[in-house]
Amino acid sequence: MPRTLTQSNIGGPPPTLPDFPPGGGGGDDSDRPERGGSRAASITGIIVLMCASTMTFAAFVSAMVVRRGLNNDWHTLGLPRILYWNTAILILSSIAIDTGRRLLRRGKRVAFNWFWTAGTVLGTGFLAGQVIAWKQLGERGFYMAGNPSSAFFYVLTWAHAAHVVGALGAVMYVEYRALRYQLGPGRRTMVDVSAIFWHFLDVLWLGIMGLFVFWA
Amino acid sequence: METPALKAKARGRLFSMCLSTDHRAVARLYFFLSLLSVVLGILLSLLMRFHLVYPQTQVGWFAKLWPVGAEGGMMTPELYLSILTLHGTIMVFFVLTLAPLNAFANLVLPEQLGAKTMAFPRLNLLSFWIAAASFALLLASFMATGGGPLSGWTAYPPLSVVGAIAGPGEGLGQTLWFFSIAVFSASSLLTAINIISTVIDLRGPGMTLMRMPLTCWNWFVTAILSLLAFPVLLAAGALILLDRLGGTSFFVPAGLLVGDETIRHSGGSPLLWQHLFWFFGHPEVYIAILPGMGIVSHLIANFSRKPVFGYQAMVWSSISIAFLGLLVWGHHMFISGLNPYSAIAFSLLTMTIGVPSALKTLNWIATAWNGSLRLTTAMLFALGFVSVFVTGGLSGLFLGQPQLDAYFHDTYFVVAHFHLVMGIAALFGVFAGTFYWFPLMFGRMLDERLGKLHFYLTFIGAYCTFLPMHFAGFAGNPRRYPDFTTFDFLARSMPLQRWITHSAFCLAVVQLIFLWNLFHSLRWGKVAPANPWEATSLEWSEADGPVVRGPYEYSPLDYTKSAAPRDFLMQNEESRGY
Amino acid sequence: MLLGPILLLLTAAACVLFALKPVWFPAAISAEALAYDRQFVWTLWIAGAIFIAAQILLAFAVVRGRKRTTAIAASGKHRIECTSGIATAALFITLSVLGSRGWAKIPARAPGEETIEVHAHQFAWNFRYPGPDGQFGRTGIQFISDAGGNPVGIDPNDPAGKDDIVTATLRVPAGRDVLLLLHTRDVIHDFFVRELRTKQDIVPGMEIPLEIHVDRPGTYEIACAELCGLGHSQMRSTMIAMPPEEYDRWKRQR
Repeated sequence: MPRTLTQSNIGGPPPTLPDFPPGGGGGDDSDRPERGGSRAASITGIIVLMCASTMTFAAFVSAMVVRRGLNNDWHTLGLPRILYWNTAILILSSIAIDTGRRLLRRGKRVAFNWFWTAGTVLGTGFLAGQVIAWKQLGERGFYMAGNPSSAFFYVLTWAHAAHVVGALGAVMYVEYRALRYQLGPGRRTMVDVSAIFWHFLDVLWLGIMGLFVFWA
Repeated sequence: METPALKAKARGRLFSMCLSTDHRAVARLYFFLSLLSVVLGILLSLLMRFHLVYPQTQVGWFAKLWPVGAEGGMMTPELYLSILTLHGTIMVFFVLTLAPLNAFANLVLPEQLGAKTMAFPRLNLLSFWIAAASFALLLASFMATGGGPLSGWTAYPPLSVVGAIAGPGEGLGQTLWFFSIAVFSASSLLTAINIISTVIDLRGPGMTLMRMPLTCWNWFVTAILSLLAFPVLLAAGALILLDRLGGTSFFVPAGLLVGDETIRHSGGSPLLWQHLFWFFGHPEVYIAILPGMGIVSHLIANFSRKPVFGYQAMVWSSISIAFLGLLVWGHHMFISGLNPYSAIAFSLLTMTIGVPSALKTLNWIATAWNGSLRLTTAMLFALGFVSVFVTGGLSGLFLGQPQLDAYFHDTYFVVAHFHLVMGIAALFGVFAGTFYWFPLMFGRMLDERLGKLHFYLTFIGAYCTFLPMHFAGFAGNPRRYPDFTTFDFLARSMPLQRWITHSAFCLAVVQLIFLWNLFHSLRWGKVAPANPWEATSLEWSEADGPVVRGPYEYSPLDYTKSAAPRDFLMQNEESRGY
Repeated sequence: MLLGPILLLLTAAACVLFALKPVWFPAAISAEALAYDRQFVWTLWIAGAIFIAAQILLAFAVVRGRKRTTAIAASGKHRIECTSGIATAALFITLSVLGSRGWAKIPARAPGEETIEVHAHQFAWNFRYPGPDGQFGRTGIQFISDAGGNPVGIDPNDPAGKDDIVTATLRVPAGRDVLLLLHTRDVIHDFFVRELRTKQDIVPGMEIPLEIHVDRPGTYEIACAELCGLGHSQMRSTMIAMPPEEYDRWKRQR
């Protein structure tokens, strides 16, 4: 008798709670080796996410270019000094994270832990520095409203900070797993993926700083 | 009697329906959200059509549903416009983006590729619930104090920014609407990431890119288009929300007096919103139609028992349509106040998109030509798609010329155009996919006789409703008018408008056949065999082997000559068996 | 099996519909409008031919295929595809080029023309003429008072504005070039006169010129064609094209 579709699990009601499919990009798989497909998919996924983020920022920047050319009400923003420190902190955090990543590839878990922790702390420091920068701008009288240049500054930095919060969440999750020694050369996709995205945010930040230092 | 065990089982079922990361379960969730949306969208359109031709008729339950907007049982203009906004938003986002792409790709893409799952199943489920949240926000915007937004799905500023002073519904309702759209963009982005990663990395052994069924190609291209378009909508939404709530002026110029209130914004440009919105908006309509085109190619081959005519050309034409679709957004803005020279550039690019579209049409007809046709309901909808797509696409020839668009812009000619291509053709793609893949969703077949009755009545009804609508455009009948009683020239179009309304009501009633068929077959439909359509693609395969051939080996010459019992070879079928 | 005949029936019905024309364009009243009509008719014939050909081909494919038991594979793919691709490209690009020429011919500012300001707001039209001094007075939104008879907001302290004529209907001289300067004080509107075969969005913050040249006298309705709020369908005015001498007399009397 030909097998009908109701005889497989796709038609009728499943009798038990669904199984998370193996290698589906997460879950507690510390005792299972990573599947090659899922590593490749995760890396593709993060690249695709970077494309989406790039498009968002491209839209903001193009709006900024148009808006600047419209009127004479553009006042160049004086950037608070702390932003330069923040930039340095972010670059340092990227270096720390990438060094850690390479160490893990070679199996040096303890060193990896030190560097990754440093990266996490520096990343958090960047975020704190951003908050201070916004406070300082506010004290100088540059708010979201009233001045298109500061409006765009806030839009771009808030959007960037939102991405940093998400990325930092991932970095901290990796930190949590690292401290329990659950990662290794054969189990490092999440490390690579968070590192790639972190560097992307680094480059994005340099772009934003460059935009405001040299052009806006 | 409800025992604890039964209760647990029911809870388990609800849990598995709502929280399963299995791609087919997520597909079913999307499918039902779209179904709910399309029913709501159609009901809204009927309310609009009724009001347009019977504006003075008092309908008791209007007043009950909308005590403020329809006092005395007659719709106010602001209620009409907010229904219009909701109709457009629901149909474009929750029907035409979710059904062709999210629902069907989740259902079928992994299997057709020989993958076992989508790349990120939990992200997939999250993406659905974010879309559901967006839907809830949209409904909330319509029910907010002050009413629903009345600026259309395009939400042009300053009308959509300056607040309630510009009109009822422009307060909280408009704000919630923008939040809904922003949240929807996030959901679409997550789905795009999933689809792209699945196609690039999770194809099964032997499944090269040029062996993928055209459905997969089109979902892949659509996902890339989504990826490039939705972030721009998200950015624009963020900026306009800041204009509304944050005191910025990205889109509103100085010196406005709305009603008797001087607006505090200054220095922005309404055209900037239009650029950003249409940079998203035009690819969005290709996102709505490309999956349907893939489904049509796939089905016509299946039901003609012939390979797709010009598979490679079909792949390249999908890619061209998507690529060109990113470059033509200005054709929505020909008379908006743009530099006239840019209109010429946008026009040339727009007409160029006609070339790959015409190529696809030719290839569909050529696939069916000399085929051994099996006119199942799914095939009828696929063929109907070709007919309606041609009709709807041809009005694009007029709209793509700025000189002609200067008359037709914002008239019923445009409404006829996009309803034929999006409302009918894209929806035919969804119907076709539903009839074809219903066995995969529920293990049963939809009733074919009811299906064919539904098809014929819908096909005729669609033409009866939307073909005459072009004439309202010829007469210069503007769109988004809550009533036609002010102008002399509109009075002359009233018989035509009445025809359209009556036809639309009939068309809507006919859809009840489909709903009946759907819900009846869910429980009592004929149990489906493993490969009911004798298809070659992997979603119907019970074997597990690697892919050894292309997706459309129907009637291969040696099979026909050998008088073998079957006229097709599945993609992963090892031996030729004869 | 019904699909073939239904397709043919629908094609025939469409042709009949276009022959019967339940409603149609109003008569053109300017040279540009006549050029528009010519371009429209060209496009209609081409679109119509493609429509009929495609539906008939589809119908034939369906009718032929119903009876066939074995499919016949296609050959000569590339030739058919290339030919059709080149033909469609040539056709569409020609249409686009011809359409662009008509677009480019839409006139730019000419000297010695009549200049009239068009002011749209939620939900009415006003029109301003410069008066005998030929100059428009300064305006400001602080002076606007619809009830007080100053819908355009003319500055009472500006002498140039004292002789400005503000009306609710648009009077234009037939046979002369007219430059309309479109303004709005609130949201986006659109100036649309069907008989001119053109419309123009009016964007707040911009002064947008629209050149028209009406050939013959008559009265034509002006509609708003960009969603501007709940009164969008109430924004009606009229354009009265008058013989030039009558127009000059009217201006002097005001």
